[in-house]
Amino acid sequence: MDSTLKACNHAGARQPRIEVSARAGAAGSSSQIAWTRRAWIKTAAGAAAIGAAPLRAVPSAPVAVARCRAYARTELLPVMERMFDQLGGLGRLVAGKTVAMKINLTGSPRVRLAHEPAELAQWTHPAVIGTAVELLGRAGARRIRLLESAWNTAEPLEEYMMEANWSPQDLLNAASRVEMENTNWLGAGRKYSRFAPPKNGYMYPAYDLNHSYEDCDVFVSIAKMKDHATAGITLSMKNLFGIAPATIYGDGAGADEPSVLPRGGRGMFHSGHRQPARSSPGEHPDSPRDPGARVPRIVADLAAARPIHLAIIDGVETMAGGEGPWVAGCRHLTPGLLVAGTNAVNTDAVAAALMGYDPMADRGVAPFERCDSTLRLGQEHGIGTRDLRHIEVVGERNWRELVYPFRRKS
Amino acid sequence: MRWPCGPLDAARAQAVGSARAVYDAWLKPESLAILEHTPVNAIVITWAAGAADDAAQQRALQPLITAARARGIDVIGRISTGTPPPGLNGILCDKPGQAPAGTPVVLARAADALTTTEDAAIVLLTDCLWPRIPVESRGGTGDAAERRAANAAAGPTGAPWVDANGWRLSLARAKAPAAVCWSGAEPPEDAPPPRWEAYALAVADAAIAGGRWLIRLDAGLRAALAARQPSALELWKSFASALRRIEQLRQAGERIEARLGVLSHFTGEGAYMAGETLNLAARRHLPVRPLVRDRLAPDALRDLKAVLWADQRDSDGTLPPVLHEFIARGGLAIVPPALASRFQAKDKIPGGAFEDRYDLYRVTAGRVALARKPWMDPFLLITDAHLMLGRKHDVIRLWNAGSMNVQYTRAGSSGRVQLVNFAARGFGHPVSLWVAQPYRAAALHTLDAAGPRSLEPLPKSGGVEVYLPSFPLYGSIEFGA
Repeated sequence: MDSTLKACNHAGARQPRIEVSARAGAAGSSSQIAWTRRAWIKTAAGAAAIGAAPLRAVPSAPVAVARCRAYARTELLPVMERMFDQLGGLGRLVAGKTVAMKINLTGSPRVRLAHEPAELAQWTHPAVIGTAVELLGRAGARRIRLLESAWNTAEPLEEYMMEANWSPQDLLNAASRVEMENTNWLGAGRKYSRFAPPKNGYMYPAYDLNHSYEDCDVFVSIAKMKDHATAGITLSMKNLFGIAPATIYGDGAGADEPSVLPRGGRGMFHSGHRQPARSSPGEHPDSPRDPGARVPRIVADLAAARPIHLAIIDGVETMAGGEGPWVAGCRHLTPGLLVAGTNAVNTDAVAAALMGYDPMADRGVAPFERCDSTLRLGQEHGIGTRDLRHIEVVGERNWRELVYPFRRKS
Repeated sequence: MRWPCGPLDAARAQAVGSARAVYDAWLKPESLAILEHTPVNAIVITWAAGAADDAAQQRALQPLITAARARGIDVIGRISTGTPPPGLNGILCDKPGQAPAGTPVVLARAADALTTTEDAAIVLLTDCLWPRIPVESRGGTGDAAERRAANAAAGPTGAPWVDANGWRLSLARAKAPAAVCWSGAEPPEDAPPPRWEAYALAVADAAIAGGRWLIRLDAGLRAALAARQPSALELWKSFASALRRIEQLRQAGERIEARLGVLSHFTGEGAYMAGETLNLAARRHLPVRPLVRDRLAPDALRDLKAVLWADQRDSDGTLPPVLHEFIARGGLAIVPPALASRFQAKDKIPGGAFEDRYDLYRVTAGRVALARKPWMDPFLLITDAHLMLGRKHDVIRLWNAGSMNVQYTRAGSSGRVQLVNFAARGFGHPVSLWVAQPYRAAALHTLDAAGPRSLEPLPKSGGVEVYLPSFPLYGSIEFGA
C-alpha cells in the first residue's frame, strides 16, 4: 500500500520511541518473523494464556489526558488546544496536509439512550469534532475530511447528522475546506482502496475501503470512550471497525462485486457466516468463529493497515455497559475526560486505564471477559505498547486520580 | 359500529347452534345497552344481500332499529342489491347509485379505487389492514438487538414493519375532502382474540389521519359479550374508555404539516407506487401531503418545498400547471423519466449524491430532479425524495420511536403531534420528539390520564424537543406559542 506508506511517512507526528515491551524478551519486527498465520494465532493465544506477549518491539508516544467537564466551547477549546500542544503541536502533523478524521456515529441516528442525544452517549460529540476541526484548521491543515460509514445508508453524512438533530453546518464552518463523506459505500471514489495489515492480517489478508482512507495524508480517529458488548472497550482503534464499507462487508453485500448501496450491519465480521464480496480478499480459512476473537482481531488489523496518526477520545459524557443503547443494561456516564495521543494503542491503553480497566488484562478479565484484548492484538501487530510503564502520560500529573470506573462496584 | 345479527348474517357465517344464538342475541334491543356512555352513534346492520333470507332479516331487525332510534343511534343498512327501504338513516353500499336521492351513503371502496367524482357522506375503506406489528418466525444471528428484533418483521426501513392505515385514510380524505373516512379494518379471525388495546389501536390508527374505525368485534368477543361474561364486559369497558378519550381529543380544521407532497392520480397502474410511497414515508416519520392530481385545492401545495410526481407511466409528457407554478416559486419537483424531453442539457446543475439516479435541472426559480430510470422501489424513491428535500426541511423528528406512527398537524399558531404506538404498551425505550417550531408550551394527552401533562419544550435546532413519558398506545401532544 503505497498510499498508506505515504501517509505514514508524510505525517509529521512526533517520532515514536521504539521500546521493548517489558514482557518481551527480545525486540523483533513482526514482519521479520516468518510464522504461518495459524502458528501466529496459536502462539498469541498461548502467550496470552500464560501471561506473556510474543517477543517484539513496540512503539510508544506521549498520551495527553485532560479533565473537561462540559462541551461548552469556552471549556473545550483551551483544553484541547493544550492537549495538542502537549503532544508536540498539531502543526507538525497537519500543516499543508489533507486530514481525514474518522468520527464515531455508530448505529441509527434515531436511537437514543433514554432521552440522551446520541452525542451524550454513543456518538462522538459534535463540539469535540468541531473543536478538533477548528484546531486542525488553525494548525494549517489544507483540507479536513470528516468520515464515517453511516449505518445502513449511503446518504450524505450531513443528512445523517441532521437526523440526530445535529447542525452539520457548524462542523463544515469550523475551518476552511471541510468536507464530509459517507464511507459505507464507494461514495465519491472510482474504486475501493485496498489496505493490507502486517503479517497477512489476523482475519483478512487485506481490507477494501472507501477511497477517503487512502486519499489523505494524516488520519485521525476521534472516538468515544465506551464499553463494547463484543470487544470489551471501544476507543480509537475500535472506531475503525466502522471504516469497512457495508457494500463489501455488510449483511447485504454483493456476492461477487460490492453492492451499490450498503445494507445492514457487519454481521460477517462478528460471526463469519459469509464472506465479503468476492472482489475483496476473503478471510483466512482457519480464522476463529467466536465473535469475541474475531472482532478484536479485525479491529487490530484495520488499525494496523490504516494507521492512526492522531487518536482523540471523547470521555466527557458517554455510556457504560455497551457501545450503544441497543445493548441491554447500559447507562449514561459523565467521566469528564479527554484523551489524545499519536499512537493508537498507547492512547487506548491510557483511556482503558481511565475507565478503570487494566490495559494489560486479557481474555477472562474485565473488560475482556468474553473476548480477546484489542490492545494486546494491536501491540502484537506492532502498533504500540499497552504497557503503561512505557507510556508517557502528559497533562495531568496525577492522571490516575482521574480514573472513572465504568463498572459499577457490586 | 358493525352489528352482525339476525338470520342473514348467521346464514352467511354458517353459524349453527350456539354460534347462531350469538347472532340472535345481538338482534335483541337490549344488546344496545353496551353502547351507553360510549361515543358510538351509529350501527351498521346487514339489510339486504339479495338472498332468500333478506325478508326474514328485515322483519327481525325492526325491534332493534326501533330501539336504536329511541337511544339516538343511527342505523345504517348494508345492502348488496335491491332498493333500500325508507326508515334507515343511511345505507352502506359499493354503488352510490343504489341510494334514493337524499339518503346518506356510506361508500365502500378500496383507497386506490376511490375516485374524486363519487359523492358520499362517508367512505369506508375496504382495503385497510388490521393495525399491528406483524410477527414472523425467523432466527437472529447478530447482536443482542438483532436477536431481540428477530420475531418482528422488519421492513426496508430497518424499523419494525407495521400494518398501518393512516396513509390510506389521508389519501381518501384528499380524494374525498367532504367525506368522513372510515377504516374498515377487521380483526383477524385466525389469530388470538384481540385485547382491548388492539381494538383501541384500530381507533387510534384511524384517528391520527382524521378518520374513524368502523368498530368490528371478533366473533369470540361478540359471543362473550352476548353471554355477559365479566372479562368480556371489562374488555369492552376499557375499549370504550379509550374510544371516548380519543374522540375527546379529536380536533377539526387542522392541516397536515409537511414539506413534501406526493402527486399522483392514486388509481390504476400507478396506485401501488404512489400509495406505497405514502406508506413508507410514514415509516420514516416523514410527513407527506397526498396531492390528488384531478382534485387539487388551490392552496394544496402551500408550505411544500418539494413535490414528488409519482405517476410514471401515464405521464403525457407535460408538467401540470400547478407544478409549473410551484417550481417558479422556487420549489423542487421530482419527476419520472417520461418527462425527459422537457429539459435541456444546458439547464443541468450538479446533483450531489443522486447523480446516478437523477439529473437535476434549474428551471425558472426552482429545480427539477428527473429520474433516469423508472422507479421500481418505493423505499428507495421516498428515501431519495427525503434526501433531495433535505432534512433541513424536516418538520418533525423522533427518537426510539421505531414502532410508532406520527401525524403532525397545525392550526394557526398551535400544533399537534399524534403518536400511535403499535407495540400497544408502554415504551421499550423513552421517546424524544422534535418539532421545527419554537413552541413555548407543550401538553401531553394520553389514554391513561384524564387530563394533560405539561412537557418542557427544550430549544434545539430552531425548534423544540420534548421528552415523552411512557404512555400506552396513543398520545397527543399539543403545542402552543
